[in-house]
Amino acid sequence: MTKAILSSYIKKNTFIHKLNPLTKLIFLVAVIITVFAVKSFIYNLIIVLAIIPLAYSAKLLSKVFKPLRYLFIIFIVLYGIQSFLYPEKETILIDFGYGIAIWEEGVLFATIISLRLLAMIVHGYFFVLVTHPGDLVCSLRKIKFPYKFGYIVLSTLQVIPRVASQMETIIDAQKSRGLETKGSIANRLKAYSPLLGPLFLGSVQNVVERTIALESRAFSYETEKTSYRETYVRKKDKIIMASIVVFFTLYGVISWIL
Amino acid sequence: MDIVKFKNYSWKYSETDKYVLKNINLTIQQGEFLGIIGNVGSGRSTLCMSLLGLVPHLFYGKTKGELIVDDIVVKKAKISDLSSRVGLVLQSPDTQLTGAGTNVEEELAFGLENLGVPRREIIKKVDSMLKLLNLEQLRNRSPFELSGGQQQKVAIASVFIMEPKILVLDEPTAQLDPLGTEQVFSFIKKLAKKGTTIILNTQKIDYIAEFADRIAVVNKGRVVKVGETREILTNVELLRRNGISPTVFTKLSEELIKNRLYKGELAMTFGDAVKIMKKVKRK
Amino acid sequence: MSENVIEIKNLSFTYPAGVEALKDINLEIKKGEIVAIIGQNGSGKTTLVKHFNGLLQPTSGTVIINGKDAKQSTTAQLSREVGYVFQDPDDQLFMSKVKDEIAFGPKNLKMKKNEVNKRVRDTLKLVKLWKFRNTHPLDLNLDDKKLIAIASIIAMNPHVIILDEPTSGQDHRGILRAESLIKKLSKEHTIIIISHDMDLVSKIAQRVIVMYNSKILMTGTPKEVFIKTSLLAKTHLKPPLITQLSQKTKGMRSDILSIDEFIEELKTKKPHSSKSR
Repeated sequence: MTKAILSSYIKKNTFIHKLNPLTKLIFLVAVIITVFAVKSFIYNLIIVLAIIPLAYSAKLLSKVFKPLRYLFIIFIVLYGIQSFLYPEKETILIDFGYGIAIWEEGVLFATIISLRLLAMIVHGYFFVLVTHPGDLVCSLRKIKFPYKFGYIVLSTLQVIPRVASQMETIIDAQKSRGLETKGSIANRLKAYSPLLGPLFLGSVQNVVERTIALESRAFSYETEKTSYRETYVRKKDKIIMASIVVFFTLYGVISWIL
Repeated sequence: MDIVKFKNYSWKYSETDKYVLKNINLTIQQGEFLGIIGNVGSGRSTLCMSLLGLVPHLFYGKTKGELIVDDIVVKKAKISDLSSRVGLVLQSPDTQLTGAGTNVEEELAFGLENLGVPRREIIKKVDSMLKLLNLEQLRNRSPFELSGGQQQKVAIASVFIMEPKILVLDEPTAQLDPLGTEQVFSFIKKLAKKGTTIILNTQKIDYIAEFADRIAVVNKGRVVKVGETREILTNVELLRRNGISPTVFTKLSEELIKNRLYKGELAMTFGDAVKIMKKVKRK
Repeated sequence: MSENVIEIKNLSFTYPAGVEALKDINLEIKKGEIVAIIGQNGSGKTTLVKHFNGLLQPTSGTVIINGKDAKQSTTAQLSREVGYVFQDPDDQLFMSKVKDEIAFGPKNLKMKKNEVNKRVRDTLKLVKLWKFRNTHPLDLNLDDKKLIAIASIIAMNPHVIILDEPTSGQDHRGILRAESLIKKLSKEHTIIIISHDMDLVSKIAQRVIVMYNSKILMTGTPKEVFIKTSLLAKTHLKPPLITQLSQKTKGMRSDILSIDEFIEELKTKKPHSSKSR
């Protein structure tokens, strides 16, 4: 009963939603480049926090922080390891004795990495929330991105939930044959290993069938393909694209100077 | 006009020794509705796949003899040459949707995009196809959210919109519930009326009895017999020899004759049986 | 009193996504019964039977299996009592040899090696597929794969066997084979079948449960159910074709389920004398 999830796109009628996907993509790329170029963590923090007004104007403020739940563990591990073991340690923050201590450089390093990660995840997820995958593929095709690449992106998004639900069925079948999936980790690993067979063979079979479906729709027919879906690069898109480039360049430069 | 010609055609997959199709001779007329019946493992699906050139161009193996589809020699052609002429739909609705469309109208448009049809024309065709097949209320739904029957209708419509000369349907209802089965068959009936050549492979003899023009019986890789639907489906000996059960109405009329309650032709469809019962009553 | 192997009281179930798949189901299945559950896809059949072996737990209401609340046990524990054969064999065959496939369940039940081997042999001989014991299950044709899926449950010897669409996609011979196997099994097991195949249902079931819109619409013997044509029509179900014919023929009983019965009815109604000779 898995619902077909078409990525995580949420339809809303806002200014950001209506922008061309390429505009939003350029923004995302600019954010990612900048957080890596900028070394000061204040500047990165500003970029992370910039998501708040953006998400607010797209009416998605409550949704945009959802993936952070899954990141929590990564942050803990990151801080855990770096605070104790960062190689260029000089300043002790807390000393536990026996040569074990938390080092300031390690904490700083972990913070910078975390902020980069945070910026990428939050802005990346925001991009997915406000961009219809069909529009994205369509506009990528317009700037001569390979056609097949577009298909792979779109179909993968739609096929993943199917694989997940098939996996569920196979696990159910195994439980029904007396396999205990609760309990120790060893038990669970044992439970999941026979899963791979049918899942793999099943997906091979599905790939063959879907290939046939594609051939039947003239996928390999050699001609200039046309597009049913239409996206436009409007004047406001061009203005915004240019502003993004100018703004982030300046931002980067300023962060280096100051 | 003959649109499909199998001439002494044989095929084996490279990983097996046995031929899956053996010395097939079969011609199919343009505009006809041909039913294919036979057992599990008789080679019916392979026969269907050979029409789009998947055999021998997607699967590896060996062919003998010749297959000509719409004047194209399949062995020498590419799948893409055939795909604008032959539409093929398999049984699992899930894999028959390409995933290229985020909603039903885009799924329908996909084949036309591949053929390079101008956008304006695609819009027109999608609209009229949705109207023709009563799919309008589904146009903005994701194909993957639909019921099996609806999905299969969308899959068939997506192939049909490309206006193939030949529509090949391989067990299109095998995974559907009674409602879905009925919907898909009445849908196919509608398409048949538009003059497309239809080749339908199915186990559902009751349905095929209602609307195929001719039937080919396939067993162990051979086309055992081809003939008019009534001629084949009332030939109970032929059917049984090939492991196929006649329709319940044929079996009933056999029993009526055996019990001397009725004399005459064997029944094939529900309509036949209703007529016969009137005779039985009157005497 | 404890004749019931399955007792369902006020069972409702809502999927996490919010779809209400079962509404207030009350049902008792007796030991040794052969029950068929029919209805369109999405009517709740599969969701219902998944409660019988604990794959799903009720949102509200209770499911009692052999006198015990199903909540108390895991699916693996319940598998001793309730065996569930899924519709698609490809989803439930995971070993590389048929004999290992059959042994999978008995091994999970911690049976001794001798016992496991005996079960494998007995079951494969029962379904007449012993010759395939060393074959890869997925190399078999559909009919045989379906039988192997059933056999892998039989080997665990659960009291209740649930079969989801045992005849779908099969040819005439496969259907006959499945039918006779189910009949054989019904001597020692309680059988629950989910099926769209009305001929199978009319031939095999003692009781039919019709589901519609997440509820039980009616239950009864095949004869009782298949004469309620207007109620069936609501669910887009139709009686077997032979029954439809009897209903269309004037002066005929409307609950005829087989050709033999049809002929019998004609003979008794109107003695043979009026015809030739």
